[in-house]
Amino acid sequence: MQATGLVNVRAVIDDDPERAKVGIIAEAAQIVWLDAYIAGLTNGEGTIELPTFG
Amino acid sequence: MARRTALVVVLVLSLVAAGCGGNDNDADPTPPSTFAAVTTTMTTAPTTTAVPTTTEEAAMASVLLPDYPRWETETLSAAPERLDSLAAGYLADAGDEASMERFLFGQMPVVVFDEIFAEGAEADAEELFWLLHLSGYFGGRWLRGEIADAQPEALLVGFSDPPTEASFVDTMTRVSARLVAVDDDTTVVEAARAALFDRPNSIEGEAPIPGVADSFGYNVGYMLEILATPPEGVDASPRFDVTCDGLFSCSYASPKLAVLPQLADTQAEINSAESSAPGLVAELVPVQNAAEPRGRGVWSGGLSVQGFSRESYDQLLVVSRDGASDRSRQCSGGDRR
Repeated sequence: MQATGLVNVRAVIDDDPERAKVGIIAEAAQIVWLDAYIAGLTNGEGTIELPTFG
Repeated sequence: MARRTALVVVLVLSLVAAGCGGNDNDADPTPPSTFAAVTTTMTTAPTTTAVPTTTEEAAMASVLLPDYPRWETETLSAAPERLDSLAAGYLADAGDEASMERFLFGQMPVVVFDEIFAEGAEADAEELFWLLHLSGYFGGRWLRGEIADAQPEALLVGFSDPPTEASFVDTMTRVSARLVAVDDDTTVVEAARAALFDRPNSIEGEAPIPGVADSFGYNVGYMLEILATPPEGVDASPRFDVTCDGLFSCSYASPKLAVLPQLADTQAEINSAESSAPGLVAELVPVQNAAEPRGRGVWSGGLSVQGFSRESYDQLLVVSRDGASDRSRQCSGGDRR
């Protein structure tokens, strides 16, 4: 969040499209992580099983 | 349906957070008996939990995935070979300290965000998003298990809202919209500015969707509260020390993201008297500050880390620190408050 915020602020200050793209992709990535996190946290079905190293 | 939505909101608020996440989980009230996931990407984990310990074993490592929610989408692209490669690299470095939790919720998302910040639009976003989907989902499952062990009476333990295709599609739709914005040079800077602020929720009556400033403030509060109230008999390690003061401004004893030092000048500049964007900063600071108490409230308003083991407490701090520095807010029902 800190890095995404700073990148986006920098993009606005400099009116820099390339930096803005970085910030927006980072924000999108955060959405993916967070929504999946909530899905896992609130899923009470079944036994909790984590990945393993094979 | 409204009552179900309300329950989700109350639960999310009381336990993990005031404010993140999808906003249409009520679209399909019937949970699937099993995930209608894309089966070609799923394997069944064996019962063993052994961690490869030799160099040879590490080089041959793979990650065996239990079922996880995933439906057809062009926004995520499964990359099991990449996952295995990351795991092999992690195991080679971690040695005896290796654990799936440290890899999946700690090291891997840092690697992914490093790549995003280094390569931007050139990064293979769909593969990186798949890795983050795994990290987030199993991170949530992990925390649920830890809470169940430490606080079996917690509200969360008796609540279940299994993933649905509708909620998955909603997430992918919002992510896809960001990728579309990246393709338009004439509006992308304005989109970056808009991302800093809360957005109206498409669902009438629902709270706004938190923007980056709100989410950062929330995460700071979440992290500081965990640090301030460790489990009885456990002290937070100095490696988790952090000082936060100003807009998007925390300093970490052990920062993980490679891009953060590169942003130090921006961090100092926007928080100085000579800020080059005083208007923007003045708009964002109240948003960030208002969110911090909500983040603290997650762990001071009924939920706590009491009963967590040292290992689990440290793991939660890793996730919290990395979330504040790069990833999104740690807990909660996202777009709900």
